[in-house]
Amino acid sequence: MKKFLLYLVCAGLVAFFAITLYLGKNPKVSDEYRAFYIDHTVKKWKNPGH
Amino acid sequence: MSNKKLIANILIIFLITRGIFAAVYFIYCAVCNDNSGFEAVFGRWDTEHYSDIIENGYHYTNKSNGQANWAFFPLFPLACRGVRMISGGNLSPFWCGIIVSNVCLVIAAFFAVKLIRDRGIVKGERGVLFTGLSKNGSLLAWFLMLGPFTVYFSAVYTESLFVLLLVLFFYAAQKELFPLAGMFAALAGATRSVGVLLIIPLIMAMYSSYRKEKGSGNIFCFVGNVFARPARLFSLLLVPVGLFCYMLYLYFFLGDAFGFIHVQVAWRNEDFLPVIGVLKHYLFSTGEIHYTISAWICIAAFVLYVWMFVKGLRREAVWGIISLLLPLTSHIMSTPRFISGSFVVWMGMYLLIKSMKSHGAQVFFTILLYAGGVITIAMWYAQAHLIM
Repeated sequence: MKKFLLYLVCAGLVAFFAITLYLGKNPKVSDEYRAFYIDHTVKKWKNPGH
Repeated sequence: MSNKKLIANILIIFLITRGIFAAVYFIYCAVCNDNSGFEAVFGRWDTEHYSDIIENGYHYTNKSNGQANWAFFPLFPLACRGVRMISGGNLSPFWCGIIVSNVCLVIAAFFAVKLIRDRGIVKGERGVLFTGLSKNGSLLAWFLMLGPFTVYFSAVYTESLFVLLLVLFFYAAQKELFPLAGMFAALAGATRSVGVLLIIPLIMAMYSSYRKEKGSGNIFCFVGNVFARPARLFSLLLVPVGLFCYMLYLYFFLGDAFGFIHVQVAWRNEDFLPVIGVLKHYLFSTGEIHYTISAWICIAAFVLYVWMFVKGLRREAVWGIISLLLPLTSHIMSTPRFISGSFVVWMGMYLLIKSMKSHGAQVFFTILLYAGGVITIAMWYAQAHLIM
């Protein structure tokens, strides 16, 4: 029983990592954020009223 | 030496080294005519960011260079917030950070000495150096409190907490308490991103335990063994939890789970080939002498880690190498701090000095290390670039 529960927790952790990585692959950010921090197409950060 | 005696030894070393910090501070103030006070002089560099997180939490930045405080991982500021709560909000973020760092340093020194005793590294100490407060592994405590670049372990920086978690991780791994080691690694991952790489020394520790148990080192059988023992699998899966919790927080806060990586562009925007390109550029660069010195310190650290590997400190050596390779993927900046904060470099220095045949050489190199420590404390006060 203890072994089964541990496997279940392990599966839960793997699911947690997978979901977080998926969210990381699909950021929900403003155009300004994307241009400065992710794409590096602008060189100055303009806080777009976040 | 009993635990009580060791605690007493470490507290004495701590007080002596704090006295040295104070002496250097007063000399610096007198020589440089700096009357700005201890908080201003000791609260250098990123202290401002950590104090900001302790006080205001994570928030967006108005700085045009984009340097935002979510680049800094949350466990250290959280611990400082805890101290602040206990003080009823009376302590400033700076003093909360100082308390957390120094308490972590003392505990780290205690377990570090216990770790090298357990690893059997202290056997064969001989010579005048290994007497009094430096005997039976206690020299390592001196290195942690007075070695070059260990000034960070006393400041409002994550280094001291990170070192404590590393020491506890290696101690638990040595005792084959793998779930505990996984937990310390997870906490290290919530302190600095590189902590997640502790999964590699953890696998190595498990492999070493497997070989001892089964008398064979077949990798495929080892992998099967890990999957057949859910406690070991769970220990490994614990390691990334700290980092992933912070990533999830960043997703809800910023909309970008990798925000801690993306924000690095605000600090480092040079485009070098990772590691080799970075080292090649700075080793022979004449324009930025502090970066050139940092690059040579990296080379010396790599040599030491290879030597440690040969001498049998395998998981520690591998940790030292990977924890240095990661920052070298982008820039040379802060690498002496990262080397010092990898903890294992001090185990290597201890072993190296212990292995010297000449007692005079042992004393000479130890004095050299302490001198380096005092110089870096002075450089910290004077805001010298090499310390960055």
